[in-house]
Amino acid sequence: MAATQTDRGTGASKNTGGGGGLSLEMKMLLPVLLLLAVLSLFPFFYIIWMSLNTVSLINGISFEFAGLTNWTRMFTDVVVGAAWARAALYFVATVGLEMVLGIAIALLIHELVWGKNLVLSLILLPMFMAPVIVGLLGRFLTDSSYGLYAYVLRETGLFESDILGTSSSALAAVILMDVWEWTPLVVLIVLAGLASVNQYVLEAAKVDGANYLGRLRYIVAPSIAGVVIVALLVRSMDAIRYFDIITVTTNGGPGNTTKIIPIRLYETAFRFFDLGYAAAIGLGMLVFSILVATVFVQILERRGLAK
Amino acid sequence: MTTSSKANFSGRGLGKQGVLYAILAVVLLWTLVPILWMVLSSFKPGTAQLSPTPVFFFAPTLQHYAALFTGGNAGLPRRLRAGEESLQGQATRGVLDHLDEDGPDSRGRPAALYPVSLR
Repeated sequence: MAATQTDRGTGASKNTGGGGGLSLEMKMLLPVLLLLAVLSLFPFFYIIWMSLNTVSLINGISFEFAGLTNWTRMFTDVVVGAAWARAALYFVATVGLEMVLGIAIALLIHELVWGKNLVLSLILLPMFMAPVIVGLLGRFLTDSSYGLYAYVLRETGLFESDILGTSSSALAAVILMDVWEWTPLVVLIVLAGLASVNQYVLEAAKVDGANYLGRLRYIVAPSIAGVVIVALLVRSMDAIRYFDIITVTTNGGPGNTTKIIPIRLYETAFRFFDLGYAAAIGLGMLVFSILVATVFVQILERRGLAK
Repeated sequence: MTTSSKANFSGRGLGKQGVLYAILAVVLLWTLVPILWMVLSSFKPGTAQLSPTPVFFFAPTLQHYAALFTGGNAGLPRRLRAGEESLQGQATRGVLDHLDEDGPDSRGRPAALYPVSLR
Protein backbone atom coordinates (compact mmCIF):
# COMPACT_ATOMS: atom_id res chain seq x y z
CA MET A 1 0.00 0.00 0.00
CA ALA A 2 2.80 2.31 0.97
CA ALA A 3 4.57 1.41 -2.24
CA THR A 4 1.49 2.19 -4.27
CA GLN A 5 1.15 5.56 -2.61
CA THR A 6 4.81 6.35 -3.26
CA ASP A 7 4.44 5.36 -6.91
CA ARG A 8 1.36 7.52 -7.26
CA GLY A 9 3.17 10.38 -5.57
CA THR A 10 6.11 10.08 -7.93
CA GLY A 11 3.78 9.90 -10.90
CA ALA A 12 1.99 13.00 -9.75
CA SER A 13 5.21 14.88 -9.21
CA LYS A 14 6.40 13.91 -12.69
CA ASN A 15 3.33 15.45 -14.22
CA THR A 16 3.40 18.54 -12.06
CA GLY A 17 4.62 20.49 -15.02
CA GLY A 18 0.99 20.54 -16.00
CA GLY A 19 -1.46 19.87 -18.68
CA GLY A 20 -0.26 17.79 -21.61
CA GLY A 21 1.21 14.34 -21.86
CA LEU A 22 4.82 15.45 -21.40
CA SER A 23 6.49 15.09 -18.02
CA LEU A 24 8.28 18.02 -16.41
CA GLU A 25 11.66 16.46 -17.26
CA MET A 26 10.71 16.12 -20.90
CA LYS A 27 9.48 19.69 -21.04
CA MET A 28 12.75 20.90 -19.56
CA LEU A 29 14.72 18.79 -22.04
CA LEU A 30 12.65 19.86 -25.03
CA PRO A 31 14.53 23.10 -25.92
CA VAL A 32 17.87 21.29 -25.88
CA LEU A 33 16.47 18.36 -27.86
CA LEU A 34 15.09 20.78 -30.45
CA LEU A 35 18.45 22.55 -30.63
CA LEU A 36 20.19 19.18 -31.06
CA ALA A 37 17.75 18.24 -33.81
CA VAL A 38 18.34 21.52 -35.62
CA LEU A 39 22.11 21.28 -35.30
CA SER A 40 22.62 17.61 -36.16
CA LEU A 41 19.54 15.91 -37.56
CA PHE A 42 18.58 18.62 -40.04
CA PRO A 43 22.05 18.74 -41.72
CA PHE A 44 22.12 14.94 -41.74
CA PHE A 45 18.80 14.57 -43.55
CA TYR A 46 19.66 17.54 -45.76
CA ILE A 47 22.86 15.85 -46.95
CA ILE A 48 20.93 12.63 -47.66
CA TRP A 49 18.51 14.68 -49.75
CA MET A 50 21.44 16.38 -51.50
CA SER A 51 22.94 13.00 -52.40
CA LEU A 52 19.70 12.15 -54.22
CA ASN A 53 19.76 15.35 -56.27
CA THR A 54 21.84 17.22 -58.76
CA VAL A 55 22.59 20.44 -56.91
CA SER A 56 23.16 23.62 -58.85
CA LEU A 57 24.51 26.86 -57.42
CA ILE A 58 23.67 29.02 -60.43
CA ASN A 59 21.17 31.72 -59.42
CA GLY A 60 20.96 30.41 -55.86
CA ILE A 61 20.84 26.80 -54.75
CA SER A 62 18.49 24.53 -56.69
CA PHE A 63 17.84 20.79 -56.57
CA GLU A 64 16.95 18.50 -59.43
CA PHE A 65 15.94 15.02 -58.31
CA ALA A 66 18.38 12.45 -59.68
CA GLY A 67 17.43 9.32 -57.74
CA LEU A 68 20.41 7.08 -57.11
CA THR A 69 22.52 8.52 -59.92
CA ASN A 70 25.14 9.98 -57.55
CA TRP A 71 25.37 6.71 -55.66
CA THR A 72 25.77 4.52 -58.73
CA ARG A 73 28.32 7.02 -60.07
CA MET A 74 30.32 6.73 -56.85
CA PHE A 75 30.57 2.95 -57.19
CA THR A 76 31.66 3.15 -60.84
CA ASP A 77 33.96 6.20 -60.63
CA VAL A 78 37.55 5.02 -61.17
CA VAL A 79 39.07 8.18 -59.63
CA VAL A 80 36.98 7.84 -56.47
CA GLY A 81 37.77 4.12 -56.35
CA ALA A 82 41.48 4.90 -56.50
CA ALA A 83 41.04 7.51 -53.74
CA TRP A 84 39.34 4.85 -51.59
CA ALA A 85 42.22 2.45 -52.24
CA ARG A 86 44.79 5.08 -51.23
CA ALA A 87 42.69 5.93 -48.17
CA ALA A 88 42.70 2.24 -47.19
CA LEU A 89 46.48 2.07 -47.61
CA TYR A 90 46.89 5.26 -45.63
CA PHE A 91 44.46 4.00 -42.96
CA VAL A 92 46.29 0.68 -42.47
CA ALA A 93 49.74 2.31 -42.47
CA THR A 94 48.98 5.15 -40.04
CA VAL A 95 46.85 3.20 -37.59
CA GLY A 96 49.18 0.18 -37.75
CA LEU A 97 52.35 2.21 -37.17
CA GLU A 98 50.75 4.30 -34.45
CA MET A 99 49.52 1.23 -32.59
CA VAL A 100 52.82 -0.66 -32.82
CA LEU A 101 54.97 2.34 -31.89
CA GLY A 102 52.52 3.59 -29.27
CA ILE A 103 52.35 0.24 -27.46
CA ALA A 104 56.13 -0.23 -27.63
CA ILE A 105 56.88 3.27 -26.30
CA ALA A 106 54.26 2.89 -23.55
CA LEU A 107 55.84 -0.40 -22.45
CA LEU A 108 59.27 1.27 -22.35
CA ILE A 109 58.03 4.25 -20.33
CA HIS A 110 56.16 1.95 -17.94
CA GLU A 111 59.41 0.18 -17.08
CA LEU A 112 61.27 3.42 -16.23
CA VAL A 113 62.31 4.02 -12.64
CA TRP A 114 63.28 7.71 -12.83
CA GLY A 115 61.88 10.57 -14.87
CA LYS A 116 58.81 8.72 -16.09
CA ASN A 117 56.60 11.86 -15.96
CA LEU A 118 59.20 14.05 -17.66
CA VAL A 119 59.68 11.58 -20.53
CA LEU A 120 55.92 11.20 -20.93
CA SER A 121 55.38 14.97 -20.96
CA LEU A 122 58.00 15.44 -23.69
CA ILE A 123 56.65 12.58 -25.77
CA LEU A 124 53.12 14.00 -25.61
CA LEU A 125 54.14 17.40 -27.05
CA PRO A 126 53.31 16.73 -30.76
CA MET A 127 49.76 15.79 -29.81
CA PHE A 128 49.05 19.33 -28.64
CA MET A 129 49.81 20.88 -32.02
CA ALA A 130 47.07 21.62 -34.53
CA PRO A 131 47.27 19.25 -37.53
CA VAL A 132 47.60 22.23 -39.88
CA ILE A 133 50.67 23.39 -37.97
CA VAL A 134 52.08 19.86 -38.15
CA GLY A 135 51.57 19.98 -41.92
CA LEU A 136 53.32 23.34 -42.21
CA LEU A 137 56.14 22.10 -40.00
CA GLY A 138 56.42 18.97 -42.15
CA ARG A 139 56.61 21.11 -45.26
CA PHE A 140 59.26 23.28 -43.64
CA LEU A 141 61.37 20.26 -42.66
CA THR A 142 61.08 18.45 -45.98
CA ASP A 143 61.53 21.41 -48.33
CA SER A 144 64.20 20.50 -50.87
CA SER A 145 65.93 23.90 -50.55
CA TYR A 146 66.10 24.59 -46.84
CA GLY A 147 64.42 21.64 -45.04
CA LEU A 148 66.39 20.02 -42.24
CA TYR A 149 65.19 16.47 -42.96
CA ALA A 150 65.70 16.94 -46.69
CA TYR A 151 69.26 18.06 -45.97
CA VAL A 152 69.98 15.08 -43.70
CA LEU A 153 68.55 12.60 -46.22
CA ARG A 154 70.46 14.24 -49.07
CA GLU A 155 73.77 14.32 -47.20
CA THR A 156 73.45 10.71 -46.07
CA GLY A 157 72.58 9.70 -49.63
CA LEU A 158 69.30 8.08 -48.58
CA PHE A 159 67.01 10.29 -50.66
CA GLU A 160 67.97 13.10 -52.99
CA SER A 161 64.73 14.20 -54.69
CA ASP A 162 62.02 16.52 -53.44
CA ILE A 163 60.31 14.54 -50.67
CA LEU A 164 56.80 15.95 -51.09
CA GLY A 165 57.16 16.34 -54.85
CA THR A 166 58.04 12.73 -55.63
CA SER A 167 55.37 10.05 -56.00
CA SER A 168 57.34 7.40 -54.18
CA SER A 169 57.94 9.48 -51.06
CA ALA A 170 54.98 11.88 -50.76
CA LEU A 171 52.48 9.40 -49.30
CA ALA A 172 55.10 8.00 -46.91
CA ALA A 173 55.93 11.55 -45.78
CA VAL A 174 52.34 12.51 -44.97
CA ILE A 175 51.82 9.14 -43.24
CA LEU A 176 54.88 9.77 -41.06
CA MET A 177 53.66 13.27 -40.20
CA ASP A 178 50.38 11.81 -38.93
CA VAL A 179 52.25 9.05 -37.07
CA TRP A 180 54.50 11.67 -35.47
CA GLU A 181 51.53 13.65 -34.24
CA TRP A 182 49.22 10.90 -33.01
CA THR A 183 51.46 8.12 -31.68
CA PRO A 184 51.62 10.01 -28.33
CA LEU A 185 47.85 9.61 -27.96
CA VAL A 186 48.20 5.83 -28.22
CA VAL A 187 51.10 5.97 -25.72
CA LEU A 188 48.89 7.85 -23.27
CA ILE A 189 45.94 5.46 -23.61
CA VAL A 190 48.10 2.33 -23.35
CA LEU A 191 49.93 3.72 -20.31
CA ALA A 192 46.56 4.23 -18.61
CA GLY A 193 45.83 0.56 -19.34
CA LEU A 194 49.22 -0.55 -18.04
CA ALA A 195 48.63 1.30 -14.77
CA SER A 196 45.61 -0.92 -14.15
CA VAL A 197 47.47 -4.23 -14.58
CA ASN A 198 47.38 -6.21 -11.34
CA GLN A 199 50.89 -5.94 -9.85
CA TYR A 200 50.34 -8.92 -7.53
CA VAL A 201 49.66 -11.21 -10.46
CA LEU A 202 52.78 -9.91 -12.22
CA GLU A 203 54.90 -10.44 -9.09
CA ALA A 204 53.48 -13.96 -8.67
CA ALA A 205 54.31 -14.79 -12.29
CA LYS A 206 57.84 -13.45 -11.80
CA VAL A 207 58.29 -15.60 -8.70
CA ASP A 208 57.02 -18.61 -10.66
CA GLY A 209 59.76 -18.01 -13.20
CA ALA A 210 57.81 -16.38 -16.04
CA ASN A 211 60.11 -14.26 -18.24
CA TYR A 212 59.27 -10.77 -19.54
CA LEU A 213 57.78 -11.99 -22.82
CA GLY A 214 55.70 -14.57 -21.02
CA ARG A 215 54.32 -11.99 -18.59
CA LEU A 216 53.66 -9.64 -21.50
CA ARG A 217 51.76 -12.28 -23.45
CA TYR A 218 49.72 -13.94 -20.73
CA ILE A 219 49.15 -11.16 -18.19
CA VAL A 220 49.78 -7.69 -19.63
CA ALA A 221 48.29 -8.20 -23.11
CA PRO A 222 44.92 -9.54 -21.91
CA SER A 223 44.76 -6.79 -19.27
CA ILE A 224 45.30 -3.93 -21.71
CA ALA A 225 43.37 -5.43 -24.65
CA GLY A 226 40.35 -3.25 -23.89
CA VAL A 227 42.22 0.06 -23.90
CA VAL A 228 44.18 -0.97 -26.99
CA ILE A 229 40.92 -1.53 -28.86
CA VAL A 230 39.65 1.85 -27.63
CA ALA A 231 42.86 3.49 -28.91
CA LEU A 232 42.42 1.64 -32.20
CA LEU A 233 38.82 2.87 -32.45
CA VAL A 234 39.76 6.49 -31.70
CA ARG A 235 42.61 6.55 -34.20
CA SER A 236 40.63 4.72 -36.88
CA MET A 237 37.79 7.24 -36.71
CA ASP A 238 40.32 10.02 -37.10
CA ALA A 239 42.35 8.37 -39.86
CA ILE A 240 39.28 7.93 -42.08
CA ARG A 241 38.72 11.70 -42.20
CA TYR A 242 42.37 12.75 -42.41
CA PHE A 243 42.49 16.01 -44.30
CA ASP A 244 44.47 18.85 -42.73
CA ILE A 245 48.07 17.70 -43.15
CA ILE A 246 47.62 16.56 -46.76
CA THR A 247 45.88 19.83 -47.68
CA VAL A 248 48.73 22.03 -46.48
CA THR A 249 51.55 19.79 -47.69
CA THR A 250 50.70 18.12 -51.00
CA ASN A 251 47.02 18.95 -51.57
CA GLY A 252 46.59 15.48 -53.02
CA GLY A 253 49.65 15.56 -55.28
CA PRO A 254 52.02 14.92 -56.87
CA GLY A 255 49.56 13.71 -59.50
CA ASN A 256 47.03 11.89 -57.36
CA THR A 257 49.53 10.13 -55.11
CA THR A 258 48.19 11.47 -51.82
CA LYS A 259 44.62 12.08 -52.94
CA ILE A 260 42.75 10.06 -50.35
CA ILE A 261 38.98 10.13 -50.17
CA PRO A 262 38.50 13.24 -47.92
CA ILE A 263 40.67 15.28 -50.31
CA ARG A 264 38.66 13.99 -53.28
CA LEU A 265 35.47 14.88 -51.40
CA TYR A 266 36.70 18.43 -50.81
CA GLU A 267 37.65 18.79 -54.48
CA THR A 268 34.28 17.47 -55.63
CA ALA A 269 32.39 19.85 -53.37
CA PHE A 270 34.42 23.04 -53.40
CA ARG A 271 36.42 22.96 -56.61
CA PHE A 272 34.01 21.22 -58.98
CA PHE A 273 30.89 22.35 -57.03
CA ASP A 274 29.32 18.95 -57.65
CA LEU A 275 27.56 19.06 -54.30
CA GLY A 276 25.14 16.17 -54.83
CA TYR A 277 27.95 13.80 -55.73
CA ALA A 278 30.09 15.13 -52.87
CA ALA A 279 27.20 14.44 -50.48
CA ALA A 280 27.10 10.82 -51.69
CA ILE A 281 30.87 10.45 -51.17
CA GLY A 282 30.57 12.00 -47.69
CA LEU A 283 27.80 9.59 -46.75
CA GLY A 284 29.93 6.74 -48.08
CA MET A 285 32.68 7.82 -45.69
CA LEU A 286 30.16 7.98 -42.86
CA VAL A 287 28.94 4.44 -43.60
CA PHE A 288 32.55 3.21 -43.64
CA SER A 289 33.24 4.91 -40.28
CA ILE A 290 30.13 3.36 -38.75
CA LEU A 291 31.13 -0.09 -40.04
CA VAL A 292 34.63 0.22 -38.55
CA ALA A 293 33.26 1.49 -35.23
CA THR A 294 30.70 -1.33 -35.13
CA VAL A 295 33.42 -3.95 -35.64
CA PHE A 296 35.49 -2.55 -32.77
CA VAL A 297 32.50 -2.20 -30.44
CA GLN A 298 31.51 -5.80 -31.19
CA ILE A 299 35.03 -6.95 -30.35
CA LEU A 300 34.82 -5.03 -27.07
CA GLU A 301 31.42 -6.55 -26.29
CA ARG A 302 32.65 -10.07 -27.11
CA ARG A 303 35.49 -9.60 -24.65
CA GLY A 304 33.10 -8.18 -22.05
CA LEU A 305 34.88 -4.82 -22.07
CA ALA A 306 32.11 -2.59 -23.36
CA LYS A 307 30.70 -1.85 -19.89
CA MET B 1 66.88 -10.37 0.10
CA THR B 2 67.60 -6.68 0.35
CA THR B 3 71.24 -7.23 -0.57
CA SER B 4 70.28 -9.40 -3.52
CA SER B 5 67.73 -6.91 -4.89
CA LYS B 6 70.20 -4.05 -4.42
CA ALA B 7 72.88 -6.03 -6.21
CA ASN B 8 70.39 -6.88 -8.92
CA PHE B 9 69.44 -3.22 -9.33
CA SER B 10 72.96 -1.87 -9.32
CA GLY B 11 74.12 -4.47 -11.80
CA ARG B 12 71.69 -6.02 -14.27
CA GLY B 13 68.80 -3.70 -13.32
CA LEU B 14 70.86 -0.61 -13.92
CA GLY B 15 72.02 -1.96 -17.27
CA LYS B 16 68.41 -2.61 -18.26
CA GLN B 17 67.42 0.92 -17.24
CA GLY B 18 70.34 2.25 -19.29
CA VAL B 19 69.10 0.42 -22.38
CA LEU B 20 65.57 1.76 -21.76
CA TYR B 21 66.84 5.34 -21.51
CA ALA B 22 68.96 4.90 -24.65
CA ILE B 23 65.94 3.69 -26.67
CA LEU B 24 63.74 6.45 -25.23
CA ALA B 25 66.41 9.02 -26.09
CA VAL B 26 66.04 8.00 -29.75
CA VAL B 27 62.25 8.26 -29.43
CA LEU B 28 62.61 11.72 -27.85
CA LEU B 29 64.93 12.77 -30.63
CA TRP B 30 62.27 11.75 -33.16
CA THR B 31 59.58 13.60 -31.19
CA LEU B 32 61.41 16.76 -30.21
CA VAL B 33 63.67 17.61 -33.15
CA PRO B 34 60.85 19.10 -35.29
CA ILE B 35 59.53 21.15 -32.37
CA LEU B 36 62.97 22.38 -31.34
CA TRP B 37 63.80 23.20 -34.95
CA MET B 38 60.59 25.21 -35.23
CA VAL B 39 61.36 27.11 -32.02
CA LEU B 40 64.95 27.73 -33.14
CA SER B 41 63.77 28.92 -36.56
CA SER B 42 61.37 31.38 -34.98
CA PHE B 43 64.40 33.29 -33.62
CA LYS B 44 66.42 33.09 -36.84
CA PRO B 45 66.77 35.94 -39.30
CA GLY B 46 65.33 35.08 -42.70
CA THR B 47 68.67 34.39 -44.33
CA ALA B 48 69.46 31.72 -41.74
CA GLN B 49 66.02 30.16 -42.19
CA LEU B 50 66.49 29.86 -45.94
CA SER B 51 70.02 28.55 -45.76
CA PRO B 52 70.50 25.30 -47.73
CA THR B 53 72.67 23.99 -44.89
CA PRO B 54 71.24 23.98 -41.36
CA VAL B 55 72.31 27.00 -39.29
CA PHE B 56 72.66 26.40 -35.55
CA PHE B 57 74.54 29.54 -34.51
CA PHE B 58 73.07 32.93 -35.42
CA ALA B 59 72.20 36.31 -33.98
CA PRO B 60 68.68 35.76 -32.58
CA THR B 61 65.92 38.11 -33.65
CA LEU B 62 62.36 38.74 -32.48
CA GLN B 63 61.23 40.11 -35.86
CA HIS B 64 58.89 37.15 -36.52
CA TYR B 65 57.17 37.58 -33.17
CA ALA B 66 56.85 41.30 -33.88
CA ALA B 67 55.27 40.41 -37.25
CA LEU B 68 52.91 38.01 -35.49
CA PHE B 69 51.52 40.78 -33.30
CA THR B 70 51.35 43.39 -36.03
CA GLY B 71 49.20 41.62 -38.59
CA GLY B 72 50.59 38.12 -38.86
CA ASN B 73 51.75 36.26 -41.92
CA ALA B 74 49.81 34.95 -44.84
CA GLY B 75 51.63 31.65 -45.09
CA LEU B 76 54.86 29.77 -44.81
CA PRO B 77 56.72 31.08 -47.86
CA ARG B 78 55.90 34.69 -46.98
CA ARG B 79 56.88 34.09 -43.36
CA LEU B 80 60.21 32.78 -44.46
CA ARG B 81 61.11 35.96 -46.30
CA ALA B 82 63.59 37.88 -44.21
CA GLY B 83 62.31 41.11 -42.74
CA GLU B 84 59.45 41.42 -45.20
CA GLU B 85 56.23 42.65 -43.74
CA SER B 86 53.15 40.70 -44.80
CA LEU B 87 50.45 42.32 -46.92
CA GLN B 88 48.01 42.22 -43.99
CA GLY B 89 50.66 43.77 -41.80
CA GLN B 90 51.10 46.59 -44.28
CA ALA B 91 47.35 47.03 -44.65
CA THR B 92 46.83 47.07 -40.87
CA ARG B 93 49.64 49.54 -40.45
CA GLY B 94 48.18 51.66 -43.24
CA VAL B 95 44.76 51.75 -41.51
CA LEU B 96 46.27 52.54 -38.13
CA ASP B 97 48.47 55.29 -39.56
CA HIS B 98 45.48 56.76 -41.38
CA LEU B 99 43.34 56.76 -38.21
CA ASP B 100 46.16 58.28 -36.27
CA GLU B 101 46.52 61.14 -38.74
CA ASP B 102 42.83 62.01 -39.11
CA GLY B 103 41.46 61.11 -35.66
CA PRO B 104 37.78 60.36 -34.96
CA ASP B 105 34.98 62.42 -36.52
CA SER B 106 32.55 64.61 -34.60
CA ARG B 107 30.40 61.61 -33.57
CA GLY B 108 33.40 59.80 -32.16
CA ARG B 109 33.54 57.33 -35.06
CA PRO B 110 36.91 56.50 -36.52
CA ALA B 111 37.93 58.37 -39.62
CA ALA B 112 37.29 56.81 -43.04
CA LEU B 113 39.11 53.54 -43.50
CA TYR B 114 39.80 54.18 -47.18
CA PRO B 115 42.02 54.70 -48.96
CA VAL B 116 44.56 52.45 -47.28
CA SER B 117 48.05 53.24 -48.32
CA LEU B 118 50.15 50.14 -48.85
CA ARG B 119 53.60 51.48 -48.32
